Amino acid sequence: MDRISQLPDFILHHILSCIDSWDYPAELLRMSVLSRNWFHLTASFPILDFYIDQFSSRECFFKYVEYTTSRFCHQNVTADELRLVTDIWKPAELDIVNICLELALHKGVKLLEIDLTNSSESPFASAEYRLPNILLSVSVLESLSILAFFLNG
Amino acid sequence: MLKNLNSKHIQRFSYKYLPQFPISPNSPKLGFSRSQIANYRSNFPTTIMSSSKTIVLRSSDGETFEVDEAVAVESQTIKHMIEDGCADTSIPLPNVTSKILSKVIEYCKKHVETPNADEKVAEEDLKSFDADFVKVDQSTLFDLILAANYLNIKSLLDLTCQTVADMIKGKTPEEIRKTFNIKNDFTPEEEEEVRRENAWAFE
Repeated sequence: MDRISQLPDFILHHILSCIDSWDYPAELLRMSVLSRNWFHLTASFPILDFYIDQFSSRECFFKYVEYTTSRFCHQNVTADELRLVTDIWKPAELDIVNICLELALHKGVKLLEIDLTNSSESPFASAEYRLPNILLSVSVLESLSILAFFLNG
Repeated sequence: MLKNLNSKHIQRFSYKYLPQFPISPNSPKLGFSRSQIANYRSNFPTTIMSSSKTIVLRSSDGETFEVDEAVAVESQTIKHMIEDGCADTSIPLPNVTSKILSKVIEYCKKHVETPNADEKVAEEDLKSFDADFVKVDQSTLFDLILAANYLNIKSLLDLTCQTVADMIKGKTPEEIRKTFNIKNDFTPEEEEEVRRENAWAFE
């Protein structure tokens, strides 16, 4: 008998949060194919951690960010934590970052950590980053930490 | 002469050396030695403990468990019920069976009793207790998770959830389904699409 799928969602999310966050992308994606129930469960997991260092290819990473954020926003939940640690090499990547932030903030985020410090390899090394305006009006935000190359606005 | 001594003689002799009453400044010094006290305490620990309040818990199947208040309040739920004055006769726990409740009490007792004095040894001992505690069948494990949640015992909830997470980590979807008897209700096309979107995760 499948007792694990009958546990309440918040307990299953608690179980998922016990997995090392470094393994989240692979583990969560593998679990999303277990069954339809688990697909929605992994989609609504309220901890969104995006670390570019976990991925071997930049394209993979940004695709993952886009996929996970859009799946999350189709669920009717607020995020507990959103962490984004990356650097930007192309305008398209910046767009994805901005959309991700706006969508997540629109849904509501309690803890937000952004680290966009650019390495010197990036063509954007000395550019400025402007935070989306929605950041000024979030109501459920409890903790905020931002590291970026230049903050403007 | 010593050979002729038997138990009767020995008893009479030991009687002679008991402290004599009334006690005067000249009588032999009274008092148990330190090793005598330690010996007594190790054999009769419960009589040394101060009498603290006990709480009666009733499981869903009507069995009652009497526990020290210090053990019972490991559960925040029970703690609040006591503080709100709902614990006069007994505390009913309709969501917890006697089998699970006795395990939970065992966990709480161990965690309350572990002394802080010898930190490293106590910590190792507790870790090995915890490791053995969760060596149970899946059904019991999930019941413990639900009980820890209902009774609001954070350390037990974390322990049991971590155990399940460890059962999931590193397994392929097929292995996870097998471990937990999860039924795959995707159509082959749907499953293929999800796998294709994130092919890198399934290598």
